Amino acid sequence: MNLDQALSTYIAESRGLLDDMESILLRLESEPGDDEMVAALFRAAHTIKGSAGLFGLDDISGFTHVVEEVLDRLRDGMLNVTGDLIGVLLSCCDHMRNLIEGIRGPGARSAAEMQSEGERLVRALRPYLETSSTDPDPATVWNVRVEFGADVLCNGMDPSSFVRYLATLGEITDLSVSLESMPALAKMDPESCYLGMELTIAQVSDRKIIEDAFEFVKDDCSLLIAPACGGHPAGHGVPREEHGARAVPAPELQSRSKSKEETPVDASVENRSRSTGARPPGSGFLRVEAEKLDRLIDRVGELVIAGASASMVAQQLGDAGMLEAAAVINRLVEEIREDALQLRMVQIGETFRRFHRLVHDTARELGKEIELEIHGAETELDKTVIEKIGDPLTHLVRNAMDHGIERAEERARLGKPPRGVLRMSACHDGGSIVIEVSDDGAGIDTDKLLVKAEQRGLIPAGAKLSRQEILCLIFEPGLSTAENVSNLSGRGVGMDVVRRNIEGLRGTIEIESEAGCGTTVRIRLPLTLAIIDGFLVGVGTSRYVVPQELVIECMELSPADREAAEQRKYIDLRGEVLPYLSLRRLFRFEGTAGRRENIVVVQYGPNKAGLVVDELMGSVQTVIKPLGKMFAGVKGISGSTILGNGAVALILDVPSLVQAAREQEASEFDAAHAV
Amino acid sequence: MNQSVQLDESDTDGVRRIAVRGEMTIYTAAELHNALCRRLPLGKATKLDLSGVTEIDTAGLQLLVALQRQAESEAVSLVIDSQSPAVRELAALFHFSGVGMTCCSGGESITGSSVP
Repeated sequence: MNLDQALSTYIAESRGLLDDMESILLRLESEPGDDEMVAALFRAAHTIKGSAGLFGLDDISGFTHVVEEVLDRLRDGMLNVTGDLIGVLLSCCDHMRNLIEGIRGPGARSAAEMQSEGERLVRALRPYLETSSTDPDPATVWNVRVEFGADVLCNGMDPSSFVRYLATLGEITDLSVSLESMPALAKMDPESCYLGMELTIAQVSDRKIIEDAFEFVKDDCSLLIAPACGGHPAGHGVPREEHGARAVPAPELQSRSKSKEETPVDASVENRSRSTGARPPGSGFLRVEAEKLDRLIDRVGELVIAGASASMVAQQLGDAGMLEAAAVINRLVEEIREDALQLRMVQIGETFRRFHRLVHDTARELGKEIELEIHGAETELDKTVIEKIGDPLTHLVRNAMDHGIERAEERARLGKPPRGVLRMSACHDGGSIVIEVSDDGAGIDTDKLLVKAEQRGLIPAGAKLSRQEILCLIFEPGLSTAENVSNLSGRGVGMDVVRRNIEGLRGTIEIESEAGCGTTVRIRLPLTLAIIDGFLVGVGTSRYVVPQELVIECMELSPADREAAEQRKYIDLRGEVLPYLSLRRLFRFEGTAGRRENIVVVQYGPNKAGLVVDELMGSVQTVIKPLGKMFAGVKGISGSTILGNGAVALILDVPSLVQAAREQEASEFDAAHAV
Repeated sequence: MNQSVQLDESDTDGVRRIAVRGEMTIYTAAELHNALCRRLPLGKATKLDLSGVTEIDTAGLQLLVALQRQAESEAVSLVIDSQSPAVRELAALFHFSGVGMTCCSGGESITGSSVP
């Protein structure tokens, strides 16, 4: 049924609203007194509560109701923004999030835990509700009369859910239904709503609360709310009709609303734009299940392979018409591939912004002043990549706050501004995205790092390492320069895990640090994990794919050049030293190469290297298939793909090959000089 | 969206018994309405068995009231023989008493008697 779908929408929408609330709360701390933000906060809580009521999620609407009341007071200027209040409200957001995640099944916490957490928070909120107790609104009993529009049912609203919701707001002491406008059975439209009702509700402090309960049908009902006589016990509002009453006119109610100065609320004439403004900002966007997109991209992958096979057959047949058709299809497939991958691209900003909260909380915990700066939030990358970088980034951010940025006093002593700055940035660079996490803290003490590494036996004692090499030691397992192990980091797990995670995404990580000035960790990731443009090369009968965006140029390697290169151990690229690897040697092919070999010059980050292969075979669209676990340890290969003719080609792991080529060249260089 | 309601009819000793099974909601309202209209006029005393109603909303309730009025206009009796928790809950929610829907002796009432 549709309810399930609606519930999913509600969950997704609430998540978004909670994200908004969280970011507003964090901003509010630095700029209190921004009425706009407080109003937005209130609206978000209000929407969550209202929809929860409609779905009968009483624990959510009940809890959010309390939060909303505090926000209401904040909005009315009866409360001031304090750090403590923000802290409590942030915890409330967490609790609401847990409740909402719990809709779909039991979450990580037990129901009892959730309940006690909820009660604790309500207790924490209570003081904010009690200050300045001059409640101007003594009326707590209200008479409500509502006529629903004919389309209400078709629009997916059920009047009964409003009653259910009202019952959570106060006590419904009296209710009568009228169906006077309903024609006889044979003539009625079963999908039209003919319902009107009158009810008396007690223990509601504000007319607005009742009004808001009908927010969703505001344009589709007529609503009259009038206070019943102030201190009256409930039940006196509307005389209860016991028998045979089809029409229930309520003279008492009507006369009262006329006699008092109250203006009846007629929702149908209220400004429509407000209700559309309150709707989720979704027009023009479509929520699609991630799984459907993944399936689409899988299909496109298969299409790419099938298309390649079709054009291969066309080439073999040599039929001009066929070739042309195949070319058109290939072009279209390529465009579809681009579009499909584009669908899964999301901005990294959302991921970054989540760190506001982490930074806020951790800074408090550590007693440091830290500000988070975000750059390049609009940079896009594949959703599957984004999902996987959250953990590594969390590690890096925590590390930077815990070990990098000093305490305010320490910073002041060093002549730095007391407030530390943590910077997260993202940008595109070639076919990759570069994400940086940097801080202006103490930097890494390389001497200390070196001593530790020697102690742990990671490097031989007295080894001479470049500064960069020493810094890279931080990615080795079991190393940390932190003197104190805190509960955040410093236990020597972390950086090696970060590196492993990043490498698992075919990315690389590097670190720069200057003592006293700060540390920058740079992550370089491919934009997508699914399909790439590849450059096909051959060694013997095997085929390999080099990601095309990493290929700079291709050259022929004549026998004379080859000899010279073997002596020098590098290739002379127009006067530039180019380290190289022979794939034939690397993958231990039997036999010797043909007379002519070729070099593919690849670049990863700032480093170039040459790969010597037998044949150059041109570009192919490559659907990346992961290698099985058995091959996980194989160096130099990052995946496999299926070619048009059904043959398997291996995808070269360029970053590791470039690294290997440079190491080889360096060791040759050392060897040559040692002699 | 529409096979989720079913009407079963039986006849014993001149009393017609209509059992509704499934959903009585906006999703099934049109179908249910059709099925009910096909049985008009009622013509004789009818018992309504709502024990198989899994879900009911305002649309379903409207149909029940309309059926009740139909019986009244034909001056035949219509009683609700038994009702499922879903029906009872909705009736209680609406403090259902004003529609004159009563049950046969000993049976439960759809009226608001169970309202706290």
